Amino acid sequence: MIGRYRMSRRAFVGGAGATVALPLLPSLWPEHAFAQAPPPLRFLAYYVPCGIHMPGWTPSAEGAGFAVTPILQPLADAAMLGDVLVLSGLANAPARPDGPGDHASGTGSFLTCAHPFKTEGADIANGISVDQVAAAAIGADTSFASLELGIEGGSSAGGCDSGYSCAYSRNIAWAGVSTPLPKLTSPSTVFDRLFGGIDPMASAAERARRKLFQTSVLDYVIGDTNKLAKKLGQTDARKLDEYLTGLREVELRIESDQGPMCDPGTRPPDNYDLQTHVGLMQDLMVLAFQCDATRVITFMLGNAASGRSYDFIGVTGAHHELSHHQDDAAKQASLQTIDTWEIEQFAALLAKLKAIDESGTSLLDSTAAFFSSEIEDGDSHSHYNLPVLVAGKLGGALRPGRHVRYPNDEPLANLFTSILRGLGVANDKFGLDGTGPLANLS
Amino acid sequence: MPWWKQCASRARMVSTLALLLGFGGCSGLIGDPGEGSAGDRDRNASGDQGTGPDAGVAGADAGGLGAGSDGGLVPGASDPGTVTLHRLNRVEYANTVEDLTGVRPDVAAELPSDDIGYGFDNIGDVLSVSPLLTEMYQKAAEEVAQKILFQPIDEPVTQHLEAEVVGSDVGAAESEFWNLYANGSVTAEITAAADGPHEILVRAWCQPAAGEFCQMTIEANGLPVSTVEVSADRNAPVVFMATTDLKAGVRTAGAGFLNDFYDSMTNADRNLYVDWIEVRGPLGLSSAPNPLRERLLACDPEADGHRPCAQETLARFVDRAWRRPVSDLEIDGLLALFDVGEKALGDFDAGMALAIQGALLSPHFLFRVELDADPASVEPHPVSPHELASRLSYFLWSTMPDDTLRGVADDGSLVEPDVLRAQLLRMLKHEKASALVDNFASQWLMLRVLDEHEAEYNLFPEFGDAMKAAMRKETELVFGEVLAGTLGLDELMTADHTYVDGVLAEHYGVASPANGFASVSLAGTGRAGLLGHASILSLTSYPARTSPVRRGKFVLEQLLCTPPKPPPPGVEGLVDEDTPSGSLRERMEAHRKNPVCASCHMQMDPIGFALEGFDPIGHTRKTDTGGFAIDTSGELPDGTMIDGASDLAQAIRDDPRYPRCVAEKLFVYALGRGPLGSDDAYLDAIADRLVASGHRFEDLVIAIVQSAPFLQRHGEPAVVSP
Repeated sequence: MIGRYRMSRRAFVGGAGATVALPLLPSLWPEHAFAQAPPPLRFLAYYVPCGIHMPGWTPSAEGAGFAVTPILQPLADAAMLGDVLVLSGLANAPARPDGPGDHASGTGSFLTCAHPFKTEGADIANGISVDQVAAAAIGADTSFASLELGIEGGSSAGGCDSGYSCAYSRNIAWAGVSTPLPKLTSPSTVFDRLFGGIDPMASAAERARRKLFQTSVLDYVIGDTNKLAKKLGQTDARKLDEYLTGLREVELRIESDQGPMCDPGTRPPDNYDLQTHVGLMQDLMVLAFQCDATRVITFMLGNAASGRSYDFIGVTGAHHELSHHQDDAAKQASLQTIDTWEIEQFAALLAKLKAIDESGTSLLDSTAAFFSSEIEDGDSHSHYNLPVLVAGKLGGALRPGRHVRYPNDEPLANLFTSILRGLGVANDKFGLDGTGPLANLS
Repeated sequence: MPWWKQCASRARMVSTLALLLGFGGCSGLIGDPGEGSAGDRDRNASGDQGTGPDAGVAGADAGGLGAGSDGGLVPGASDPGTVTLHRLNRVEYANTVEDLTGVRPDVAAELPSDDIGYGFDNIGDVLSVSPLLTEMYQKAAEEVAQKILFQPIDEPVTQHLEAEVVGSDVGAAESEFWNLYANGSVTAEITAAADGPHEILVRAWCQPAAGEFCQMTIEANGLPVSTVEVSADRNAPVVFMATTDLKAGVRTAGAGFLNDFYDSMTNADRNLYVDWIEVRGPLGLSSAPNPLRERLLACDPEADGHRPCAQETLARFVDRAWRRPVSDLEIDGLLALFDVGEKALGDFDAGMALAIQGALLSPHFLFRVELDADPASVEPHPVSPHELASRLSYFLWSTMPDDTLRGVADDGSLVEPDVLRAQLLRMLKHEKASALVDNFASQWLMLRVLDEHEAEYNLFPEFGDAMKAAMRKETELVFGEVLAGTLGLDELMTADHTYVDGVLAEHYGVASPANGFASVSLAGTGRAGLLGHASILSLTSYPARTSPVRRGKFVLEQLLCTPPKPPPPGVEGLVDEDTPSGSLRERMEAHRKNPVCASCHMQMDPIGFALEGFDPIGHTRKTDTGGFAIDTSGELPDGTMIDGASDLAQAIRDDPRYPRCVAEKLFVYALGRGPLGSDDAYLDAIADRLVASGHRFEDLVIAIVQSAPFLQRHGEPAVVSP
């Protein structure tokens, strides 16, 4: 005998398929989408921890047709080299920590180009990240202004890095100077969040009623919260302010919900190894862009100074420990193996974006996908000459397939100014050290 | 004092004293070492306050409330501090929802992890509310309301629709039938009362032509469920049936004609005639009532009337949910929500679902609200009995007060020292006090880190999830003894017994218990006390080798509360990177000749060396991973000579910093705030009581709960924006 829910909460209960099925039928695309207008522009930031082994990364030649290097080889194998800009010589000087703490500081500053304030307490302070600047400008057009995703969750005890809060080590998206946006790491949770409110069989009347119910509850809670805030001191009232912001955001999303926009396919499974986990998250990124659920995504392949073991690709030792290689050839070889695996994942994501056609152009053509790490090299902890890739054409703002070398420690912040402008977001200077747009991208 | 420490200590006071005294504090994006002297002034100023003119007033207040409770009045202490509005963390949220409603929402397991401050995830200042979290609270509230209110349907619902009434854009009505004279469908809108399998029945007959009968699809939501051949004629229509899963809500069921045929020469005309469509379901029903709904309702909505019953039910529910008496006005707000749902669907449960969601999303539920009569006054005052009850239950149980505790809050007697003490002792013995193991001990001793810890597979293939779970369980069981009072906090360091299951027994080389975990003697194993636990020894190691530095740091930070300074710029981690040219110890000794490193490593390394007899996953060993002999002797900074884990354990046990440190850790966890400079006097007094009582955990809890910082709070001065 099975109990029945009188009021149904819809749920896609899928089988245990290993990957999310991508909806490939053009008929399932968002209605308001791309028949006439050009496809929307998107930004994706892809973070990898512990730096990169630069001798295996940097191409020797500049310009188009450069000879591929061992770590970048997977891009060539996936025929994606022509879709990627390799940028050398960019520096994120504000990321330099006060004393030790390069991993946390470099990660906190990864998309903010600000100088994270050294603290483990409540007084965290950073800048607003480039994805959030973009989300604030273009996010209102989609159900989710931005998506924050990752693979490693928060370790729930202990400080994170030499006096730096875990907030800096675990988050690259910062909506405000003290507001890191936590990331989701479970594919099924991400799936439910993106598509869980959608019942493809619901009638318009049902959808309208659900909207009325949800907004009534939220209106009540907002009123209740405002009343309480008046009775509190300033610090306490600020906590409620954060909550009010969240409530209004949820309400806006509900009010702008136009009903099902695309068929999300099967709900991803809850059991996976690392390789599958990364694949599932990447499929969800593609799906989120394709369904136009969001146009801004940040992704952390690991947390700052990740100590993950890579024994499944034959590497002995923890990533962070190995990254302090001290010029030991064996450790450098291990790092190169890990770095190559990371690029393999990124290349697979790019290939999927490229395979999706939107009225004659690929999804990748409308995207700027930024790839980098919190430091240059794990041993030197340098914040100069960062390993940077930018994939996609961003609707023509980028001309990929080249290696560009910048002299004089050109600020990474300038790349973000260029990307923001490419997205149609006005920006003069970004971060603490930005001076203007980066030359030679298009 | 290094500038970053000054800044940190100053930051802790920003919400209270620093603001009071007009110091801004390290809030700029770039910390300026030059500001350090202001930090010293803060600290001094707060210390001076104890003898200042205000001290008498605050002290008298503290003494007035704490009369009879030894910790309430402490010489030299005047400011009990205050706690920032405290959001329930993910564990507290799930526990509270479950205690309140009887159901633990699935969404709760997916809530993002809470940020850590001062080593714990229940720090009011640090617990922020992101939009994502808000969204998940909203989903959880929907899920909970639905689970509480679902009602089993006793029997399937049958809906019958005549085809000629429903009609279609293809065909025409013909007496009591709908004649589909071209390919198309008759589609009826029905309401599925609940998710589940439904039967769709269609009565039809066929006018055949060209030697063929009619092909008919039975459809649900516009999609074919099955295709049948209809050969029955007008005199004997036949009922066809198909079964399909339908979701609750407005759906469609239909009959479609697939093979229309018409020949104008011969007038041969194949048509499908549909009589009616019927939907029955859901099938396979349970008839047991929902106990959660029974528990929620204070009355019978049908007998007593929807709105009166909603009012009575909500008054009872919200009073518990918000952990304090609620006013009629507050209930009215939720009743307005009830009305929205009830009016839309004419259904009591639909209204109640919205009101429950409102109550669960209210800040009065999600936050532990504590009010000051004057939010801008720093005059300490006792927290209210209901606020105190919540402080107690979230400290000891990580959840809301139970009925007994609520009762003594309601009658106000909880503020009486005897009643408070009796409640405290009762709660510590309650099974819910295991929350102190799960949430306090697991963070204090960093056991949660173990879940994500990895060992090098090729060296330690046995170190998997099963072994990690066993390791964690061992430490939890031993701490359980501390909680139960059978083991003193001093004995925690030196105990000659522990708990093992089969996995750990083999790991430790002791006899395996018959099943599960059992207490075993460690005599003769070279292993004793907490620092002999494989959990601690593993989580302070690297995947492939031990780290004397990390083990030393663990003891200094977690057990002695004297964290070593971080390494100076440019040398971070270098000490840990070597090729095995000698024993790890020899290599580190060489490194320590560098005076820059020596001062801190003198403190950390001897502790770590004493534990070198245990490998990266806690096996005993005589040689290290490089094959070099182990030397566990050393000199602690105070000159004590030690050799091995047992000497180290005794040295920690006898170190006065140890009880003071445990007191500080539990104090931070109990209050959910970082330690303030003004807490020192309270903490000293609490530690003294702990030692005087014979290191019993229970007495430590009593001392903390009876201290002014636990019993009192104050507002903060309003800062006028420039």
